[in-house]
Amino acid sequence: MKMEKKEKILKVLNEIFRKELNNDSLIIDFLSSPKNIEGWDSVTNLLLISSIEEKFNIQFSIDFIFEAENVGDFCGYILTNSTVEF
Amino acid sequence: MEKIYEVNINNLYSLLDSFYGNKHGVSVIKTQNYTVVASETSVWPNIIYRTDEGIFTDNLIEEFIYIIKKNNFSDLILLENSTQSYLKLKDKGFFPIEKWIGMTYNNFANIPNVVCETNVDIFVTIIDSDLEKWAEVVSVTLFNKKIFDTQIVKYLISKGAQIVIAKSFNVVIGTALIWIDENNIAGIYMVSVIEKYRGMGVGRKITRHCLKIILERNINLCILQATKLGVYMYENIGFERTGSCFLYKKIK
Repeated sequence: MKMEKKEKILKVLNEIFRKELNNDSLIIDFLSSPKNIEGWDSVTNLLLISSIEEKFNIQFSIDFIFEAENVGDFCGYILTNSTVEF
Repeated sequence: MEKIYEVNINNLYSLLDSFYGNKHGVSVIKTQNYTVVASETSVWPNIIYRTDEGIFTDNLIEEFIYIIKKNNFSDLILLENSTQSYLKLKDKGFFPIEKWIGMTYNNFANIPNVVCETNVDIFVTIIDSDLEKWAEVVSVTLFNKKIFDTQIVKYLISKGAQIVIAKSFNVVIGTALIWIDENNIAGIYMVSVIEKYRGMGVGRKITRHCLKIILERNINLCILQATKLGVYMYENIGFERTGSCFLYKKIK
Protein backbone atom coordinates (compact mmCIF):
# COMPACT_ATOMS: atom_id res chain seq x y z
CA MET A 1 0.00 0.00 0.00
CA LYS A 2 2.79 2.38 1.01
CA MET A 3 4.75 1.46 -2.13
CA GLU A 4 1.67 2.00 -4.25
CA LYS A 5 1.24 5.50 -2.82
CA LYS A 6 4.92 6.24 -3.37
CA GLU A 7 4.56 5.20 -7.02
CA LYS A 8 1.62 7.58 -7.38
CA ILE A 9 3.65 10.41 -5.84
CA LEU A 10 6.50 9.57 -8.20
CA LYS A 11 4.18 9.98 -11.19
CA VAL A 12 3.13 13.45 -10.03
CA LEU A 13 6.74 14.38 -9.31
CA ASN A 14 7.72 13.25 -12.80
CA GLU A 15 5.33 15.79 -14.30
CA ILE A 16 6.71 18.54 -12.06
CA PHE A 17 10.30 17.65 -12.96
CA ARG A 18 9.45 17.64 -16.69
CA LYS A 19 7.93 21.10 -16.41
CA GLU A 20 10.61 22.70 -14.22
CA LEU A 21 13.55 21.13 -16.04
CA ASN A 22 11.92 21.81 -19.39
CA ASN A 23 12.31 18.23 -20.56
CA ASP A 24 9.15 16.52 -21.83
CA SER A 25 10.75 13.09 -22.12
CA LEU A 26 12.36 13.01 -18.66
CA ILE A 27 11.69 9.85 -16.65
CA ILE A 28 12.66 9.92 -13.00
CA ASP A 29 12.80 7.10 -10.47
CA PHE A 30 13.38 6.91 -6.71
CA LEU A 31 17.15 7.07 -7.17
CA SER A 32 17.12 10.11 -9.45
CA SER A 33 19.26 12.88 -8.02
CA PRO A 34 21.16 16.01 -9.09
CA LYS A 35 24.06 13.64 -9.85
CA ASN A 36 22.20 11.82 -12.63
CA ILE A 37 19.53 14.30 -13.78
CA GLU A 38 20.78 16.95 -16.17
CA GLY A 39 19.73 20.47 -15.23
CA TRP A 40 18.86 19.68 -11.61
CA ASP A 41 21.07 22.28 -9.99
CA SER A 42 20.74 24.57 -6.97
CA VAL A 43 18.53 27.05 -8.86
CA THR A 44 16.16 24.51 -10.45
CA ASN A 45 16.04 22.76 -7.08
CA LEU A 46 14.35 25.86 -5.64
CA LEU A 47 11.79 25.84 -8.45
CA LEU A 48 11.17 22.12 -7.96
CA ILE A 49 10.69 22.57 -4.23
CA SER A 50 8.25 25.45 -4.74
CA SER A 51 6.17 23.46 -7.23
CA ILE A 52 6.19 20.29 -5.11
CA GLU A 53 5.13 22.23 -2.01
CA GLU A 54 2.28 23.81 -3.91
CA LYS A 55 1.12 20.58 -5.51
CA PHE A 56 1.17 18.52 -2.31
CA ASN A 57 0.24 21.33 0.07
CA ILE A 58 3.31 20.85 2.26
CA GLN A 59 6.26 22.85 3.55
CA PHE A 60 9.63 21.12 3.42
CA SER A 61 11.77 21.82 6.45
CA ILE A 62 14.97 23.71 5.73
CA ASP A 63 17.03 20.79 7.00
CA PHE A 64 15.24 18.39 4.65
CA ILE A 65 16.01 20.62 1.66
CA PHE A 66 19.72 20.18 2.29
CA GLU A 67 19.58 16.57 3.43
CA ALA A 68 17.43 15.09 0.65
CA GLU A 69 19.60 13.14 -1.71
CA ASN A 70 17.19 11.77 -4.29
CA VAL A 71 13.61 11.62 -5.50
CA GLY A 72 12.92 8.73 -3.13
CA ASP A 73 13.60 11.05 -0.18
CA PHE A 74 11.08 13.54 -1.58
CA CYS A 75 8.48 10.77 -1.99
CA GLY A 76 9.01 9.64 1.61
CA TYR A 77 8.65 13.18 2.96
CA ILE A 78 5.52 13.83 0.92
CA LEU A 79 3.98 10.51 2.00
CA THR A 80 4.55 11.37 5.66
CA ASN A 81 3.63 15.03 5.59
CA SER A 82 1.12 15.71 2.82
CA THR A 83 -2.60 15.82 3.50
CA VAL A 84 -3.39 15.37 -0.19
CA GLU A 85 -5.12 12.03 -0.91
CA PHE A 86 -3.37 9.64 -3.30
CA MET B 1 24.13 30.91 18.89
CA GLU B 2 26.48 28.32 20.40
CA LYS B 3 29.65 29.95 21.72
CA ILE B 4 32.06 27.91 19.63
CA TYR B 5 30.06 28.59 16.47
CA GLU B 6 30.09 32.29 17.32
CA VAL B 7 33.90 32.12 17.32
CA ASN B 8 33.72 30.38 13.97
CA ILE B 9 31.41 32.86 12.26
CA ASN B 10 33.17 35.87 13.81
CA ASN B 11 36.25 34.99 11.78
CA LEU B 12 34.18 35.38 8.62
CA TYR B 13 32.81 38.70 9.87
CA SER B 14 36.37 39.84 10.59
CA LEU B 15 37.38 38.99 7.01
CA LEU B 16 34.41 40.92 5.63
CA ASP B 17 34.97 43.83 8.01
CA SER B 18 38.40 44.36 6.46
CA PHE B 19 36.57 46.09 3.59
CA TYR B 20 35.17 48.74 5.91
CA GLY B 21 35.68 52.20 4.38
CA ASN B 22 34.62 51.42 0.80
CA LYS B 23 37.74 49.64 -0.40
CA HIS B 24 37.97 48.63 -4.08
CA GLY B 25 34.32 49.29 -4.81
CA VAL B 26 33.13 47.29 -1.80
CA SER B 27 30.46 49.08 0.23
CA VAL B 28 30.11 48.23 3.88
CA ILE B 29 26.87 49.39 5.49
CA LYS B 30 26.68 48.84 9.23
CA THR B 31 23.50 49.34 11.23
CA GLN B 32 22.51 48.34 14.73
CA ASN B 33 20.92 45.12 13.47
CA TYR B 34 22.95 44.04 10.46
CA THR B 35 25.92 44.59 8.17
CA VAL B 36 25.89 44.66 4.38
CA VAL B 37 29.11 44.03 2.47
CA ALA B 38 28.59 44.42 -1.28
CA SER B 39 30.94 44.66 -4.23
CA GLU B 40 30.29 46.56 -7.44
CA THR B 41 32.79 44.60 -9.52
CA SER B 42 33.06 41.15 -8.00
CA VAL B 43 30.77 38.25 -7.13
CA TRP B 44 32.42 38.19 -3.68
CA PRO B 45 32.01 39.73 -1.14
CA ASN B 46 28.23 40.16 -1.39
CA ILE B 47 26.58 39.36 1.88
CA ILE B 48 24.14 40.61 4.50
CA TYR B 49 24.45 39.27 8.02
CA ARG B 50 22.61 40.11 11.17
CA THR B 51 24.56 41.46 14.10
CA ASP B 52 21.67 41.23 16.56
CA GLU B 53 20.26 38.09 18.11
CA GLY B 54 16.60 39.01 18.02
CA ILE B 55 13.73 37.61 16.03
CA PHE B 56 13.85 38.19 12.31
CA THR B 57 11.08 40.77 11.95
CA ASP B 58 9.06 41.55 8.84
CA ASN B 59 10.36 45.11 8.97
CA LEU B 60 13.95 43.94 8.90
CA ILE B 61 13.28 41.68 5.91
CA GLU B 62 11.55 44.55 4.11
CA GLU B 63 14.60 46.70 4.82
CA PHE B 64 16.85 44.06 3.23
CA ILE B 65 14.60 43.94 0.18
CA TYR B 66 14.75 47.72 -0.08
CA ILE B 67 18.57 47.68 0.10
CA ILE B 68 18.81 44.97 -2.55
CA LYS B 69 16.47 46.80 -4.95
CA LYS B 70 17.79 50.30 -4.32
CA ASN B 71 21.42 49.33 -4.90
CA ASN B 72 20.75 46.63 -7.49
CA PHE B 73 22.65 44.12 -5.34
CA SER B 74 21.58 41.09 -7.38
CA ASP B 75 24.37 38.85 -6.04
CA LEU B 76 23.70 39.68 -2.41
CA ILE B 77 23.45 36.64 -0.14
CA LEU B 78 21.76 36.68 3.23
CA LEU B 79 23.47 34.68 5.96
CA GLU B 80 21.19 33.46 8.75
CA ASN B 81 21.98 30.94 11.46
CA SER B 82 18.50 30.37 12.83
CA THR B 83 16.28 27.76 11.16
CA GLN B 84 13.29 29.59 12.67
CA SER B 85 13.66 32.39 10.13
CA TYR B 86 13.19 30.03 7.19
CA LEU B 87 9.43 30.27 6.61
CA LYS B 88 9.34 34.01 7.21
CA LEU B 89 12.17 34.58 4.73
CA LYS B 90 10.61 32.23 2.22
CA ASP B 91 7.32 34.13 2.38
CA LYS B 92 9.26 37.23 1.36
CA GLY B 93 10.94 35.53 -1.60
CA PHE B 94 14.26 34.54 0.02
CA PHE B 95 15.17 30.92 -0.70
CA PRO B 96 17.92 28.91 0.98
CA ILE B 97 20.64 28.17 -1.55
CA GLU B 98 23.34 26.69 0.65
CA LYS B 99 23.89 25.25 4.08
CA TRP B 100 27.23 25.91 5.74
CA ILE B 101 28.45 23.63 8.45
CA GLY B 102 30.80 25.43 10.80
CA MET B 103 33.89 23.35 11.63
CA THR B 104 36.89 23.76 13.91
CA TYR B 105 40.32 22.18 14.13
CA ASN B 106 42.65 22.33 17.10
CA ASN B 107 44.71 19.15 16.91
CA PHE B 108 47.80 20.85 15.51
CA ALA B 109 50.15 18.36 17.16
CA ASN B 110 48.76 15.64 14.90
CA ILE B 111 48.09 17.12 11.48
CA PRO B 112 47.50 13.95 9.46
CA ASN B 113 49.39 12.96 6.34
CA VAL B 114 47.22 12.70 3.27
CA VAL B 115 47.54 10.70 0.10
CA CYS B 116 47.21 12.63 -3.13
CA GLU B 117 46.93 10.76 -6.42
CA THR B 118 48.38 13.50 -8.56
CA ASN B 119 51.52 15.57 -8.60
CA VAL B 120 50.74 18.83 -6.86
CA ASP B 121 52.75 21.76 -5.49
CA ILE B 122 51.02 23.95 -2.91
CA PHE B 123 52.32 27.32 -1.81
CA VAL B 124 51.38 30.84 -0.71
CA THR B 125 51.57 33.31 -3.56
CA ILE B 126 51.60 37.07 -4.14
CA ILE B 127 52.57 36.89 -7.81
CA ASP B 128 50.11 38.74 -10.05
CA SER B 129 49.74 35.99 -12.66
CA ASP B 130 49.08 33.42 -9.90
CA LEU B 131 46.49 35.70 -8.27
CA GLU B 132 44.69 36.12 -11.58
CA LYS B 133 44.59 32.36 -12.06
CA TRP B 134 43.52 31.88 -8.44
CA ALA B 135 40.58 34.28 -8.95
CA GLU B 136 39.69 32.54 -12.21
CA VAL B 137 39.60 29.10 -10.59
CA VAL B 138 37.56 30.38 -7.63
CA SER B 139 35.13 32.02 -10.04
CA VAL B 140 34.60 28.77 -11.95
CA THR B 141 34.55 26.36 -9.02
CA LEU B 142 32.66 28.37 -6.39
CA PHE B 143 30.78 31.21 -8.07
CA ASN B 144 29.27 29.82 -11.24
CA LYS B 145 31.81 31.63 -13.44
CA LYS B 146 30.83 35.11 -12.18
CA ILE B 147 33.71 37.58 -12.03
CA PHE B 148 35.90 37.37 -8.93
CA ASP B 149 37.89 40.60 -9.10
CA THR B 150 41.64 40.10 -8.66
CA GLN B 151 41.83 43.56 -7.05
CA ILE B 152 39.79 42.15 -4.16
CA VAL B 153 42.35 39.38 -3.73
CA LYS B 154 45.22 41.85 -3.77
CA TYR B 155 43.42 44.04 -1.25
CA LEU B 156 42.94 41.09 1.09
CA ILE B 157 46.65 40.27 0.84
CA SER B 158 47.41 43.86 1.87
CA LYS B 159 45.23 43.27 4.94
CA GLY B 160 47.07 40.08 5.88
CA ALA B 161 45.26 37.31 4.01
CA GLN B 162 47.34 34.48 2.58
CA ILE B 163 46.46 33.18 -0.84
CA VAL B 164 47.20 29.48 -1.24
CA ILE B 165 47.50 28.00 -4.69
CA ALA B 166 47.84 24.39 -5.86
CA LYS B 167 49.58 23.66 -9.14
CA SER B 168 50.01 20.46 -11.06
CA PHE B 169 52.73 20.68 -13.69
CA ASN B 170 52.45 24.48 -13.51
CA VAL B 171 48.68 24.50 -14.05
CA VAL B 172 46.58 25.99 -11.25
CA ILE B 173 44.21 23.27 -10.05
CA GLY B 174 43.23 24.38 -6.56
CA THR B 175 42.81 27.34 -4.23
CA ALA B 176 42.44 28.42 -0.62
CA LEU B 177 42.61 31.60 1.45
CA ILE B 178 43.75 31.94 5.06
CA TRP B 179 42.51 34.75 7.27
CA ILE B 180 43.76 35.30 10.80
CA ASP B 181 41.44 37.45 12.88
CA GLU B 182 41.98 39.80 15.82
CA ASN B 183 41.50 36.93 18.27
CA ASN B 184 44.31 34.94 16.65
CA ILE B 185 41.93 32.42 15.15
CA ALA B 186 42.63 31.24 11.62
CA GLY B 187 39.94 30.76 9.02
CA ILE B 188 40.33 28.73 5.85
CA TYR B 189 38.18 29.93 2.94
CA MET B 190 37.59 29.22 -0.71
CA VAL B 191 39.07 25.75 -0.76
CA SER B 192 38.38 24.56 -4.28
CA VAL B 193 39.71 22.12 -6.84
CA ILE B 194 38.97 22.21 -10.57
CA GLU B 195 36.60 19.46 -11.68
CA LYS B 196 39.16 17.34 -13.54
CA TYR B 197 41.25 16.88 -10.38
CA ARG B 198 38.50 16.18 -7.86
CA GLY B 199 38.45 12.91 -5.92
CA MET B 200 42.26 12.60 -5.97
CA GLY B 201 42.98 14.03 -2.55
CA VAL B 202 43.94 17.51 -3.79
CA GLY B 203 41.41 19.26 -1.50
CA ARG B 204 42.71 17.30 1.50
CA LYS B 205 46.28 18.18 0.60
CA ILE B 206 45.45 21.89 0.23
CA THR B 207 43.68 21.88 3.62
CA ARG B 208 46.60 20.08 5.26
CA HIS B 209 49.00 22.62 3.79
CA CYS B 210 46.86 25.45 5.18
CA LEU B 211 46.97 23.82 8.64
CA LYS B 212 50.76 23.64 8.40
CA ILE B 213 50.93 27.35 7.53
CA ILE B 214 48.62 28.15 10.44
CA LEU B 215 50.74 26.03 12.79
CA GLU B 216 53.83 28.01 11.76
CA ARG B 217 52.02 31.16 12.93
CA ASN B 218 51.62 29.58 16.40
CA ILE B 219 47.85 29.56 16.14
CA ASN B 220 45.93 26.80 17.87
CA LEU B 221 42.40 27.14 16.52
CA CYS B 222 41.31 26.99 12.92
CA ILE B 223 37.77 27.33 11.59
CA LEU B 224 36.02 26.94 8.26
CA GLN B 225 32.53 26.79 6.79
CA ALA B 226 31.98 23.54 4.91
CA THR B 227 29.32 22.69 2.37
CA LYS B 228 27.54 19.34 2.46
CA LEU B 229 29.98 17.97 -0.13
CA GLY B 230 33.09 19.05 1.77
CA VAL B 231 32.15 18.21 5.32
CA TYR B 232 33.26 14.56 5.24
CA MET B 233 36.63 15.47 3.80
CA TYR B 234 37.23 17.93 6.64
CA GLU B 235 36.04 15.41 9.25
CA ASN B 236 38.47 12.94 7.74
CA ILE B 237 41.30 15.41 8.40
CA GLY B 238 40.14 15.97 11.99
CA PHE B 239 37.81 18.98 11.87
CA GLU B 240 34.76 18.90 14.14
CA ARG B 241 31.29 20.30 13.52
CA THR B 242 30.32 23.32 15.59
CA GLY B 243 27.02 24.53 14.14
CA SER B 244 25.44 25.60 10.91
CA CYS B 245 23.97 28.52 9.04
CA PHE B 246 22.07 29.03 5.82
CA LEU B 247 22.63 31.27 2.84
CA TYR B 248 19.55 32.79 1.23
CA LYS B 249 19.05 34.58 -2.03
CA LYS B 250 16.16 36.79 -3.04
CA ILE B 251 14.64 34.83 -5.90
CA LYS B 252 11.12 36.23 -6.31
